[in-house]
Amino acid sequence: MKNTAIEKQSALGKERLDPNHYTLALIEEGHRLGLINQTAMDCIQTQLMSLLADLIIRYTKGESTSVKVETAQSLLLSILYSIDVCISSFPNPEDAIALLKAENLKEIYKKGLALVTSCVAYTRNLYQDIMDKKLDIPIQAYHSTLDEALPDFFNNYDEVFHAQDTMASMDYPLLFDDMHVQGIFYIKQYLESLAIETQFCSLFPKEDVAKLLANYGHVYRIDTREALINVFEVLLTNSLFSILASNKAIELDISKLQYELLRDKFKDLDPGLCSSLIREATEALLRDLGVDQAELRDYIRNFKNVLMPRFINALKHDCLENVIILDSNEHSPLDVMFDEGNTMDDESFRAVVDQIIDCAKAADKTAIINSTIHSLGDFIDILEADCLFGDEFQYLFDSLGDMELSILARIVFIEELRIDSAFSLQSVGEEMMEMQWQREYIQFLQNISPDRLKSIDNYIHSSFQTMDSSDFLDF
Amino acid sequence: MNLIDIYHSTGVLIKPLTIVEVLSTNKESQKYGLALTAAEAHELIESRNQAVRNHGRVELGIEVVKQIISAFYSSSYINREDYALTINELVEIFYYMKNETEESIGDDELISIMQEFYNTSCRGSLELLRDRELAILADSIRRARQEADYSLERKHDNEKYGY
Repeated sequence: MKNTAIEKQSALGKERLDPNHYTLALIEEGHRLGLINQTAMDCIQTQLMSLLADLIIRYTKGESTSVKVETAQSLLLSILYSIDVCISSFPNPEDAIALLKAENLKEIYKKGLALVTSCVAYTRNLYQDIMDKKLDIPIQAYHSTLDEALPDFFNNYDEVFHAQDTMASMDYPLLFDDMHVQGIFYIKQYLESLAIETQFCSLFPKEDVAKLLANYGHVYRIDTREALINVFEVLLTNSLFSILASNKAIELDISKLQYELLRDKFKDLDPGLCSSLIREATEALLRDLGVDQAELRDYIRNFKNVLMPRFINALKHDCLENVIILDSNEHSPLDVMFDEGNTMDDESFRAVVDQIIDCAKAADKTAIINSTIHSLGDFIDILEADCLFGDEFQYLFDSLGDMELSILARIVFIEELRIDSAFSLQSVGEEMMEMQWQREYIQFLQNISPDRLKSIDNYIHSSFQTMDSSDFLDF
Repeated sequence: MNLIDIYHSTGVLIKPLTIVEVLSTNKESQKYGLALTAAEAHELIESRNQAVRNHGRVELGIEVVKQIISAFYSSSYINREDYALTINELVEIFYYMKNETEESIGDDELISIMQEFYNTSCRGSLELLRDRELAILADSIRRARQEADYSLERKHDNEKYGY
C-alpha cells in the first residue's frame, strides 16, 4: 500500500498539470489515477455548474436566465481561474485533491477570488512603484506600455466575470516574459520583471543609455524610438563586454580597438570556455555595480542563457558587431543614404486613410500612398491601418523600388538579420508573422523574379545612413 | 475538456424539466379554454431544448417557457387547436430574438414586447411578429449600438490624437 501511495504521488506531478487549467487537469488526472472516484467527480462538477448558474444570474443582473454559450464558457473560465489560484497554492497536488473532496467548491472559489483581488491590489502598487521610478529613455513602446496599456488594463480588469482575461496591449518587450500566464497574474509577473529591469537600467546615466540606443539603431538601421527593443538586454550586453574589455561595468562605450581585441580573444575559443568567461564577467559585473538584490542578481545571471547562443552564432558568422554595440564614431563609413522623411500630423494622416478606404481600386490606393506618404513611419502606419486588403498589398509593394523594399525587409526580418548577418531573402520560407502586411510582404517576395530578389538582398547588405534631405518614397 | 460539455452532461443547470411543471400552467390557461396535453408539454420541452441549442445559448431553467405561456394564453388570437403550436413557435422566436437583440433586452421585457406586438400590429401573425416587428426592433438596436461604438471610438481618437 505504501509503495502504491508513493507511486501515485509521483505520478501526480504538479509540473505535468496544465497551470492554466490546473483544477480541471488535476481532477482528470486524479480520476485517472483513482484518487477521485466517479461520485466525487460528479459532486465537484455539480458544484461547479451551480457556481456558474449563480454567476450567470449576476452577469445578467437577474434580467435573463440564458446567455450565449461563449459567454457561459468565459464565465466558467473566470470561476476556474479563481479556483485554480486557491488549488495551486498547495505544493502537493494530493492536498489539493483532498481539499476539493472535503470542502464546498463555493468556499474554495471564494478563497481563490480573495487571492485574485489581493493580487490586483498588489499589482496596482507595483505599477505605481514602477511609475515613480520610470526611466527617461527614448523608447515609445516603453512609455505607451506604462502610460496607456497598463492603466487601460487596470481600468477594465474584472476579476469576477473575466478574471482570466489579459486584455492589454503592452508592446514593450521584456527579457524574460512567460506569456502562457493569464489574467492579473500575467500582469503581476510582467511588472515584477519590469521592476527588476528598471532597477538595473537606472544604474546607468540616461545620456549613456540614449547614446547606446542610438548606436544600436545605427547598427540595425532602425529608428530605436519606434522599435520594440528591450533596453535592459542592450545595456547588460554592452556592460558585460565592457567588463571583458577591462572597462568598468558602468562604461557602455566600447572602442573599435577594444572590440577587435575582444573578437581576437574569443574567435578561436571553444564554446565552453566562452561560456566560462561570460559567467566570470557576469559575476564581476555584479560586484562592480554593487548589485546585492537576490532577484536582480538571478535575473542578470539568467541572461547568459539568452546571450550565449547569439554570441556563439555571431562568432561563427564573424558578425560580433551585431552583439557588441560600438560607439557610432567608430563605425566604418556608410555608402547608402536613407531618410526617414517628414511624418504627417495625425489629422492629415487620418484624412489620407479615409481617402484610401474610399477607393475601390488597388491602383488608386497605391497612387494616393505614393503621392501623399513621405516617411517610413507613416508608410508603416498605413500598412497597419486596415485600409489595404489582399492583392492591394501586392500591388503597392510592386510599385516600390528595390531599395524601399529592402527597408521593409529589414523591418520584417529584424530578428533573422540580428542572428545571422548573412541572412538572405532567398532562404525565406513560410514564416509566421504577426502583422498582415508582413505576411503579404513575404508572399510578395515569393512571387518576384530571382534577379529582383537578389537586388533587394544587395541593398539589405549595403550600409544605410539616415539623412534629412530626401523622402522615403522618393528614391 | 470542453467545459460546456460538462454542463450538458451533468444537466444540473437544466433542473429536471418535468412535464408537470409545464402542465401546472393549465390551471390558469383553462380559464380561457386553453390547455396543453402531456404529449404537447413534452413536445414543448423538446422544442425549448432545441431552440436553446440551435441559438447557441445556455439556459438555466424553464421559467421563460412558463412566462411565455402566462403572457399569451389570454390572447384573443390563440385558439384551442393551435395553442401548443403557437407556444412552441413563440419559444423559438424568443431565443432567436435574445441573440438578435444582442442581449440588450431582459427576458421579462422581451416577452412583454412580443406580447404587445402579437396582440396589436401583428394581429396574431407569428410571421409578422418575427419578420417585421421584431426584425425592425433588432435592426434599430443594432444601429444604435453601432452608432454608440462609433462615437466612442471617435471620442477615444479625439482624446488620443487631440483632434
